[in-house]
Parts: sequence; C-alpha cells; structure tokens
Amino acid sequence: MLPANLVVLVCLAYVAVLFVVAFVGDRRARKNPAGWLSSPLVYTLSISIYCTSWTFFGSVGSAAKNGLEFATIYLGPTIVFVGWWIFLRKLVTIGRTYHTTSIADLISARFGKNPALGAMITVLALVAITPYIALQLKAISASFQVITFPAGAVAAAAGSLEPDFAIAFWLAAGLCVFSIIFGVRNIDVNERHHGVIAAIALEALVKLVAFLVVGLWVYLALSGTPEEMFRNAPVSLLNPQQSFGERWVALCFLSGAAVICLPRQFQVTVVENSSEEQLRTASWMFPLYLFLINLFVIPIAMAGLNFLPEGTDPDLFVLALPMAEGQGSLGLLAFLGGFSSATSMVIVSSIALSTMISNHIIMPIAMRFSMVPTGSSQNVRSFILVTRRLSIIFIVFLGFVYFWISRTSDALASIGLISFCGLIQPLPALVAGLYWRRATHGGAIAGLGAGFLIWCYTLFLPSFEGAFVLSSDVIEHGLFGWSWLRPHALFGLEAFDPLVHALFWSMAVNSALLIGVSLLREPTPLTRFQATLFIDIFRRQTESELGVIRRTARVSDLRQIADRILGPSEAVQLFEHGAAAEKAVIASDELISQVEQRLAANVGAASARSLVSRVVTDETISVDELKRLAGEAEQIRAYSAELERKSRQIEATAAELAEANERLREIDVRKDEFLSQVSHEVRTPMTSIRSFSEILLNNRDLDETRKLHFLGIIQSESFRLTRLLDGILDMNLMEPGMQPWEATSFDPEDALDQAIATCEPLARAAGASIIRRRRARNARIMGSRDQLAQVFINLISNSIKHNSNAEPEIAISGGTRKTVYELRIADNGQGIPERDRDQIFQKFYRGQQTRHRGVGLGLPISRQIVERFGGELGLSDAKIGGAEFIVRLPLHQP
Amino acid sequence: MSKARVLIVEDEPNIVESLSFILGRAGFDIETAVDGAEALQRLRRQVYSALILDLMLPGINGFDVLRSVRSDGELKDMPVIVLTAKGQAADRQAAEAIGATAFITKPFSNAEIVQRVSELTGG
Amino acid sequence: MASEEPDRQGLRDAATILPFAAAALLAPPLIWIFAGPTEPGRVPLIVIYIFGIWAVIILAAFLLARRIGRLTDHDPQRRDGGP
Repeated sequence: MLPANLVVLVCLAYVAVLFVVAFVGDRRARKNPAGWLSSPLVYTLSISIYCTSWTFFGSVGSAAKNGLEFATIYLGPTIVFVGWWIFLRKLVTIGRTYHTTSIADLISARFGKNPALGAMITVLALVAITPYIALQLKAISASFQVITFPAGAVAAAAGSLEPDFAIAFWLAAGLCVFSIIFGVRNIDVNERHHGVIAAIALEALVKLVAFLVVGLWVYLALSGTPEEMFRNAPVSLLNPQQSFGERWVALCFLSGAAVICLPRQFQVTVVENSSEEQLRTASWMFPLYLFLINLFVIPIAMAGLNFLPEGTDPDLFVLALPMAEGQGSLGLLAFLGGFSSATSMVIVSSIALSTMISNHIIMPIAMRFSMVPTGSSQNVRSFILVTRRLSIIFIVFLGFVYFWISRTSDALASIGLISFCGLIQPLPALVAGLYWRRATHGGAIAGLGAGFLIWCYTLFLPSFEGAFVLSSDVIEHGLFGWSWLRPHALFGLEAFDPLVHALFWSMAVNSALLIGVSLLREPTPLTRFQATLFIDIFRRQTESELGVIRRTARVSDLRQIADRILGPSEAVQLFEHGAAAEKAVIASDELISQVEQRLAANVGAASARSLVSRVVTDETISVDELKRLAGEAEQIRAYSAELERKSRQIEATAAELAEANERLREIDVRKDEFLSQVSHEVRTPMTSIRSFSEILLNNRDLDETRKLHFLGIIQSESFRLTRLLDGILDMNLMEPGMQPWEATSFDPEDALDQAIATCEPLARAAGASIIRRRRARNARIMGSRDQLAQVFINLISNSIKHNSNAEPEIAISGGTRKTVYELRIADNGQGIPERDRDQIFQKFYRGQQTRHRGVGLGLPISRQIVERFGGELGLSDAKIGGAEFIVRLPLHQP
Repeated sequence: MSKARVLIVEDEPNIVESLSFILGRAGFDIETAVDGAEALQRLRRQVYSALILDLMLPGINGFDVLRSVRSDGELKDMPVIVLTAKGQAADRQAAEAIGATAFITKPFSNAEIVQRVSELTGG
Repeated sequence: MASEEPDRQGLRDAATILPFAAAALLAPPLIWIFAGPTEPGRVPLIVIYIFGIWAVIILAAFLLARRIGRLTDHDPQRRDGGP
C-alpha cells in the first residue's frame, strides 16, 4: 500500500503542474497564436481524451472477460480517422469556416438555425454524459482507495469497497475550478482554449506513458512464454469465432460514431481545429495513439488472470498487478495515468457541455423572457460567462450526485457503451446535414427525439435495473404488460443483446423518421440556404457571394448588439472593416452576415440569428436562387462527367470534320481538274473551228474541194463540241441529288432490248455482230428505264467502236444471282491494258493508244447512273482477249 | 533563200492541218509529229528553225519534250512556241520556267501564230 | 528526389477507399478466417491478425496523409511541385 498522504501530495503536485502548463500555454498562445500549441501533435494528443479512465482501466477488464471485444472501441475511431477524407474533413472545414461552437450548434445552424434542435441535443448530451462523468469520478476514487488500502491493493480490488465520496467531492470541486479558470476565460469559442489543450496534451502523454510502462513491465516480468501467458485466457480469446458477430460490428459502428458525436470529441476535433494539416496528421497519429495504448492490454489482462486471486475486479488489474508485486512506484504511475485520463475527460466534457447549455438553453430562454441584461456590454458578457461557469459546476456535480445515488449499483460498469449509444443519436442528422439537401429541421427533430426516447426506453432506463422510472416488472414484461414493448426485445426482436438491440432500433427509427419527415415538407428557405453553405463547403462561397439573403437593418442597431455581445473593442474593429466606415445608415447584407457570424462564434448560430433578427426590419431569401445554386452544385458532378464525355465527342467530331474537310478539298481539287479538263476539251475543237474559219475568210483563192474539206472539219468539230456540252450536262445531272428521277419497277432485259435495237445500225456499219447469250427471267429493278437503256447503249457502242478485231463480236448475257441482276457485255477486241483499267471510268479519259474521238465521258456517266441504281459497274478480271463489262443491279422485291 | 523549217508537234489532226496550211502559206517548211517520241526522233535527225509544241500529248508530253530540248547542247537555243488548250497561269509559268520562248493559248489567231514564228525564226 | 507529380485523382481515390478496405478487413466475414481455435501454447492468431492489420492501416494512412500533404502544401502556389 501507498500512504494516502503521499498519493494526495503527488496528485496535488501533478495538478499544480497542469495548472502551470495551462497558464503558460494560455500566455504563449496569446503572444503567438501559430506556435507549437497549434501543432498537429498537440491537436492529436488532445483528441486522445477519447481514451478515458474507461479505457485505462476498462480495456483490461474487458479483455479479461470478453477477449478482443475491447478493440472495437478503438477500431471504429481508427476507421473514421483514416477515412478523414470522406467525412471528418468536411465536418472540420465547416466547423472552422462557420465558427461552430458545438455539435448542437452545428446541427441547429444547418437546419435553419433552429433553437429547438440545439436545445434537444444539449439535453440529450447532458443526460447521456452525466453517468459517464460519474464513472470517471468513481474510477479515480476507487483507484485512490485501492492503492492506499491498508490491507493491500489486492484485497481492495477483490472486495467491494464502499465508495469514498469525500475524494470524489474534492476531485469534482478541483475539476470545476480548473475548467472554469482555463475553459471559460472568454465567451468566444474561436479564441481557442489553448491552456486547456496544452494541459490535456500533457495528460494524454502521461496516460500513454503510464500505460506503456506498466504494460512493458508486466510483459517482461510476468508474461513468460505464450503458453504460460494464455493459460487462463477466457474462451472468447482462445476460440474467438463467436466474438465476431453482430455485436462486433455494432460496437465498431458505435465507437466510430461516438468519436465524431461525443461533445468532448467534437470540441477537440472540430471546434479547436485551426487547419487541415492538423486533421491530416491526426488521421494516422490518433489511430497510432490508440494502437499503442492498447498494445499491452492483453498481456496485462492475462497476467491479472494468472497472478491475481480469483474474484479480483479485472477493471483494477492495471493498478493491482504492480501493487501485488510490490512495485509501489509503478502503481503510483498507473494511478496517475488513470487520474489523467479521467480528469481530462471531465474537464473537456464540462467545457463543451457548458457552452452548449449556455448557448442553446440559457441564452434562448433569457432572450425569450428578456432576462439578458441591458445596458453596458460588460453586463451581457459577464452574464454569459457566469452562466457558463455555473453550467460547469452544474454538470460536474450532476455527475457527482449520480455517482452518489448509484453507489451500490453496478450500473456504472457498462455505462460507457450505454452513454455512447445515447450520444450518437445526432449522427443521422449530422450526416444528412452534410450531404443531403432535402433534410429538414422537422426530420432532424423527429429522428433525434425518437432515437433519444428509444435509447432511454430500451437501454438507459433499464440499466438502473428497476431502480429508476422503469420497474423491473416493466423491464421484464414490457410497458402495460405488452410483451412487444419489452425494452430488450422491442417488437419481439430477441436476437440481439440489449446494446445491439437498442443501437439497432434507435438508429433505424431515427434515420427512418429523419428521411420520412424530411420528405413530407420542403425545407424552409433558411434551411435551404444553410444546406447550400454546408454541403458545398469546398466550393468556397461566402454568404455574400451567394447573395441570396437580403436584409435591411440600421447600422446603429447592429452596432449596439455587437457592442453588447462582442465587447466594444471587437465591435469597433468589425465595423471599421465593414462598409459602415462610410457612415451609411442602412447596413449592407455583407455587414449583417459578418456581424451575425461573429455573434454566432460567441453565442451559437441560433441565438446569433435571433439577436440579429431583432434589428432586421425586412428579410427575404430567394428560394429560386437557392434552388438554382443547389441544382448547380448537384449538377456539377454530372456536368464534369458530361464534359468528359463531350470532350471525347468533340474529339470525334473534330476527326470527322477533318475527314470531311479532306474530302471537300479532294472534291475541290477534282472540280478544278474537271473544269480545267472541260476547258481543254472545249478549246480543242474551238481551235480548229476558229483556225479554219480564219483560213476560209482570209484565203478567197482556195479551190472548192479544199473549201469543202475545211468546212467539213468545222462542221464535225462543231458536232464534237455539241456532244461534249451534252455530255457535261448529263454529267451534272448525275451529280448526287441534282435531279429526282421517276423511279418505276421494270425488267432490265427490256431496257437491254431497247439498247441493242438502238445500237443495231452502228454494229451493222462496223460489221460487228451482237450475240444474245442468256436472258434473265422475271428480273425487276427499281429506277429509270431510260437511264439504264442509256448505260447499256454506252457500253455496247463502246464495245463496237473500240473493237479492233477483224470480225467484231459483242456477247451479251444477263442473269440473276440471289438479289442481284447481273449483265455481262464482252467483246473480242484487244482488251484494256492493265494500267488503264482504273482510269477508264474517270472523266475525259480516253485510252492512251486509241485514236477514237469520244469525249471520254461515257463510262463515268454510266457508272454514276448504275451507282444511282444502287448497283456497280466494273470490268471483269477473268476475261482473256477483249474486254468484259459487268453491270450489277439490286433486284426489286415488291 | 532556203525556207525556215518548223516542226509542229500536235496530236489533234485538224489542228495540225490548219497549222500546216497557214504556216505553209506564210512560206515555212513544215514537218509534223503526233507525239513526243516522234518529235524527239525528228529533232535528233533534223535541224529546225522553230518548234511548235502542244503540251497535252499522248505518251511523252510537251513538258518532257521541252525539257529534253533545253538540256540538249545543240538544241537548247532553238525557239519553242508552246501551245496549250488549258490556258492556266500555272501551266504558262511551268512552261516558261523550263524554257519556252513563247506561249500561245488555244484557240489562237492564225495571224498571231504566223507573226510569232516569223519573229523567232528571224524571217 | 525522383518523385513525380503525384496523381491527384489517384490519391483521392485511395483516401476514399482506405476506410472501406479497413472496415472490410476488420469485420466478418473476412475476420472469421483468422478466428479459428488457438492451439495450446501459442499466441492466438486473431490477436496477431487484428494488431497486424491495425498497424498496416495506420501505416497506409500515414503514407497517404504525407503524400496528400505534399500535394496540398505545394499546390496553391505552384503546380510544378517537386522539391
């Protein structure tokens, strides 16, 4: 045992050190706000108030009883913090940007600065935290008793000691003093509690070092081989399959939600945050802290089971083990660690809660009943400060009273998780507030209220085991004896243990009501506005940039409020910066929102709004504008995806355009070529005509035969010119889309007969014979019969004219193949040389060798006509000796 | 005095006939070729005072003939009158670049042809 | 230093995926694989698994935070980045 005086002395010395650290921290921070107190390390250490005495003593107790279940309480926060990018980052940025004072403030601000919502969350937090504070007081008094117990720590830990309320009382008083001195110096939460944070960071280090030292000692001195270490391990550790059911998942969820929603966690993580860098570092450093403080939990628990007598309270293993082995100084260190974790929790919780009580309960009531002192600013400010100080005393002593009343009850043992379950009820509203525009204050109130009631009925009240409000009969058989109202099996759901059961029902009903009630009504304009500010926080619009709220207020009235709440010096600053420097009578929208924001940092958004509303004579919020903004924001993601798609589309279009351009250029070049060729073709006969005309004009002495010869040339060249122009005209008619033709269904063999008849005289003159081989039966094609006949005439006359054989022969055979009509026109001439095969279908092309005076348009025109039928005109590859043209036309199927 | 000998290279028989007639009347000795290959053959065998050259010829075209003439040591100073039915500025520039002495677009005036040939043959 | 300009989107994705991966690794059914009965004389596998995964998650968060930090610290001023 340790002498009580020594322990008290050490405690006092430790507290004195905390005071000094807090004092120095406050002074340094005032001189240099960006100093080491704003470092990510201190920020992370302050977040570790998550680890209370419940961690320090309770983890080992839990491990000894339930194996690995204790880890869930730290794995949940680990997941939340390593996932900072998804949720915490947004939450912390909103808190920092809008000077949020607490979780109640943030949620009430989001839902139209609703005062009722803030008050509800405050009451809920107060109810759920009181037992938690009682637990801390109990832990410290119990641990003090254990290490100072005259009969030895082991005996103390094994028996059930009557709690020592004197210790608890003086402890509570000391915590109040500390919290009041360092936690409520100024009403502006944005002037951060640097002194408190410095002290908390030191306490975080003390508890970590204490636990690690004790753990290391236990591991080195007592653990031995794994076999020895685990010889008395609980079944849940040796055969852990059963541990990982719904309770495991539920506890991870619960603790993950708690690390966001607990008022003290919100205070250190969100309210005290000053930069994203802090959070970024905490994202891994806080999980690391949790990891380290849990590293020796299992060795200590196993050693406790191995070395301490049966019946020893596992929650006190950390203390009892060193004491049992005669390590008094280690025992004292362990006690200090527990002391640190308990005191830091109580201090921050009471500060956070006092702000909530003052801003969301006392201020609204005081304003409603005109209890806020009028007159000088000093009065108002001191009124607020006094309410906060009184709140701290109220909270801490409520915890003390709870501890006192529940002295003999075991209710405290499980209060940690019960408290968590109540405190996370704001979670659905918080998440919806940050991501769902449609959420309304009605939905938030309904969900929160229902969740709170279910928590009370299914978990909190039954934890008194019949001693408070709910009788044991009701707990056993349900309200009014209705079994479907049994607190631990609501609606007959018996599959879960009470905690999972309560968590499930409260969260399910809470979320369902939040969504359902929100969908019943449109959000109010102010809720919509706040939703836009919060949800689109990373778009960095300020209120005035949004320009949605239009208000009218006199500058002097605003100034008066600012003077009263903020104090004259800050008010002067604010109004000098603002547009009011120009001595305007009516305040700009920007100035009004600036004043409101500054007020919100002091008394919360809801109270700030109601203060400002008193001097605002006219307010409009443009709902249309808000809807547009909201729509815009929601569309932005879709829009960027759309943009990406469009840019791909644009690329494709550009490629298409380039291709079309290329084609156009080609066509242009071809057109130029064509014109130049036409020019050439026209000029050639013109040259002869002109030249011979001049000869005839200038040479009267020419003999008659020469004259006639020359005139003959002029005439034939004129015919040539006419043919040429006709050809060009046909050519133009063939250009796609130039002239609609009358399409009829006809037999191509008829057109062929007509063509052969037309060519008969030509063939006779050339001594050529036209041989009909096969005929297609019942072929029908769609198009113009005359045009097709023209094509056939062209092909047949070509074959006759270009045939150099002594006995020219033209063989024609038609047939159908599947859906195609095919006609072959073959001659026995010299054929078409390889290099000309592609060229003959080009305009104005005439074979290199021939002297034939055609205009070179027949084949291209024919091909164009055939293509217009949807068919093709080509040369056969197979023909040896002579040329064979093939026409293929799609058959018409009526 | 001996007549100046002129070679006409042209594939259109009617134009050959009219050119032969008017230049013959003007006192020139006329020879003709219907394509580039024949023209080059004749140029190698005979000395001509001037060459009338159509650009659009089957096979070896007028440009090729002109290029051969200008790269030949003996022929490079011979006057060459280029005839073309295309009449495009680009053709004219190309022909002058490779050494055409004169450039006449079809349809031409008979008097102009006679005058240019006379000028160039010093007659 | 041979580090190229970190891939912004890739980091964002990784930061988003990490908590889900962590949750999946620490919840049933994956965790059941390591929750078999312990042979006498051995440290239970599940203890090693949970603490091991925990350490890995912290390491991943550390590396991620450092890279995101490097990106955001440089980004507002200059895009070229690398020290």
